[in-house]
Amino acid sequence: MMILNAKFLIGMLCLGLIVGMALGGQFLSPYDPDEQDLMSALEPPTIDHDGHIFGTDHLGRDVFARMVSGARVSLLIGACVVTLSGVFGVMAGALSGYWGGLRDVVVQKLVETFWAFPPILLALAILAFLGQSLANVIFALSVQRWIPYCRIARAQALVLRNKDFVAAAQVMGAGTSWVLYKHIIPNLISTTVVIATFSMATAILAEASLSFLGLGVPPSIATWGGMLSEGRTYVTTAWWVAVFPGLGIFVTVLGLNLLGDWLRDTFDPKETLNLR
Amino acid sequence: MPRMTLIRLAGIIPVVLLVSAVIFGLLRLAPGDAADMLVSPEASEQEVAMARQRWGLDEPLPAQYLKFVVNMARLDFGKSFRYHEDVFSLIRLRMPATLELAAVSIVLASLLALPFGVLAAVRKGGVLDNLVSIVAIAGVSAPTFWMGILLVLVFSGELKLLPSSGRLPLGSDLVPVTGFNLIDALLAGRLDLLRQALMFLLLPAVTLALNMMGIITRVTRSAVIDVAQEDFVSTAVAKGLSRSRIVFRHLVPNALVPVTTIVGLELGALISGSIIVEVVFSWPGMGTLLYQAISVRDIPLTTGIVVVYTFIFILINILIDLAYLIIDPRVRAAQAK
Repeated sequence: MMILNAKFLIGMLCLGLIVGMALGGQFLSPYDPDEQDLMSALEPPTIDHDGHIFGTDHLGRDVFARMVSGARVSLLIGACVVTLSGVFGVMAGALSGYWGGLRDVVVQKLVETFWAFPPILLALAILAFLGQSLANVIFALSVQRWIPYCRIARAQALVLRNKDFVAAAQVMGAGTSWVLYKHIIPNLISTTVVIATFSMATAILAEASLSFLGLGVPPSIATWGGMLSEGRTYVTTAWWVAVFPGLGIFVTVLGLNLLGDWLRDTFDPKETLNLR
Repeated sequence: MPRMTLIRLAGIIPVVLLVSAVIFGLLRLAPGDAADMLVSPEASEQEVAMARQRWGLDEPLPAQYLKFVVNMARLDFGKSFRYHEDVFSLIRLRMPATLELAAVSIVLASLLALPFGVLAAVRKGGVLDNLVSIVAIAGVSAPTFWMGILLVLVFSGELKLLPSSGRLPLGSDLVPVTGFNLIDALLAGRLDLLRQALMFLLLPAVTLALNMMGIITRVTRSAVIDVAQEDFVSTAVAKGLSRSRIVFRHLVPNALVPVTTIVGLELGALISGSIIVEVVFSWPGMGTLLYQAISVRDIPLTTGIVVVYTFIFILINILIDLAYLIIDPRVRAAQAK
């Protein structure tokens, strides 16, 4: 099997570009993302020294500096959502499958309930009712994302709990947490990583959609979705205000999807994961 | 089969109750007094008291939930603050626009994606296969609203070929009968209006379809490849059947089950996507209504739309389940046991 294939290389390139921008972007642009300069509003992109390489928006803010801020927000939210939903989903699924019985029924009813909502709608409702904040965005995006992990972990736990080595561990006095930690969770790692990669892609897309609708992170912080929403009005006269932030989202999500595909091919070619 | 349908339909009752409990819980978790949220900010003391009574806010939580469920079942979501009208009649007015856009998009996406998926699978590893894979993964990765904005930039801004917002030109004399513009234009026998309605529909529908095409193409491709490895395909080849007969009589029908599943799952994405596409193209459907309701914190209207969208989604999933009975004789046989 070829490890270094095109999906891996292009995926890493895309992600490297965005992570590099989030970490080192401020060295490339001397401008502050929130500094307004109405005299230089809607200036086109230029490669002049100290110019605005991605142009300026309708308030004269540097588009590149705002892109850097957007990259940080997207990656931060994506990482938080994946960690939160992944840990919760794997724990809930593994316990539900391992325990069985009434507790399993309760967890499965929860899964069924949250799965019954159309994807972005539940997040929209949560933010509309509970109000906008970074924490609420992360919560709203995690509320459905734990389910794929939960399903896989439960299925695995159901199979493994009847295996002799688990019975042997129990006979020797191992508690639930030991069995989960030593015997069930290690078997889930490769599948979980694949789910997490795709899930981060959809989380970043969803965050951008929410910000585009004005419901994501508070508007005082520059985000890709928010920039697109503001730039939309000027798109016919100043294409750069809407094209660059969209490109940022596209490159990030494309990178994650390609890496997810590569990981899936590498770990388990037959696995068909059902993801939103 | 009618019995199966009834059992399936009865099975959604607990889901509907749990889903409404989640929405009820969110409403109660919201900061501030519930009664103040359910009336407009400039409401009088008396109106607040009426809302309190209407939603049973002085009663214990279980009784409040019961009242909430009963009101939902009667499609009584209260009055919108912004429009001072009954919430459900507002939603009903906007629903045809959303359904029209969604239906045209899914048909467009399937018509394009299915042939490409089958072709890519039949010529696996070829130029077309690689091209389809690249386009598919790019389609999934591009945000819908960005695609929409780019299409507007090119087709409305630069080429001035298609309108960028709305459903019909201002002052159009189309008489609404069903609320579906395409059907109404046909009923009136007005081909000029049909053409206009299609022009307005094209950009939003293509934007929404592009997003779904990627996934449908990929799944069709892998489903056809999976089926091609089955023994009955080898038998068909050994019998000397023609290539087209093998593809259309043996491969495609058997690949339809996974494809139906994914098209069904995509309907969830279609609903979320349509909210955003409606906002981008100022399409006067439920999505823009939700957007407006949320931006002015119109809680009754927001709740009503969330409930209606969710129930439509649950209903679609049931229909997909029932569709398996028609497509796949094996499912029919298994359920009859």
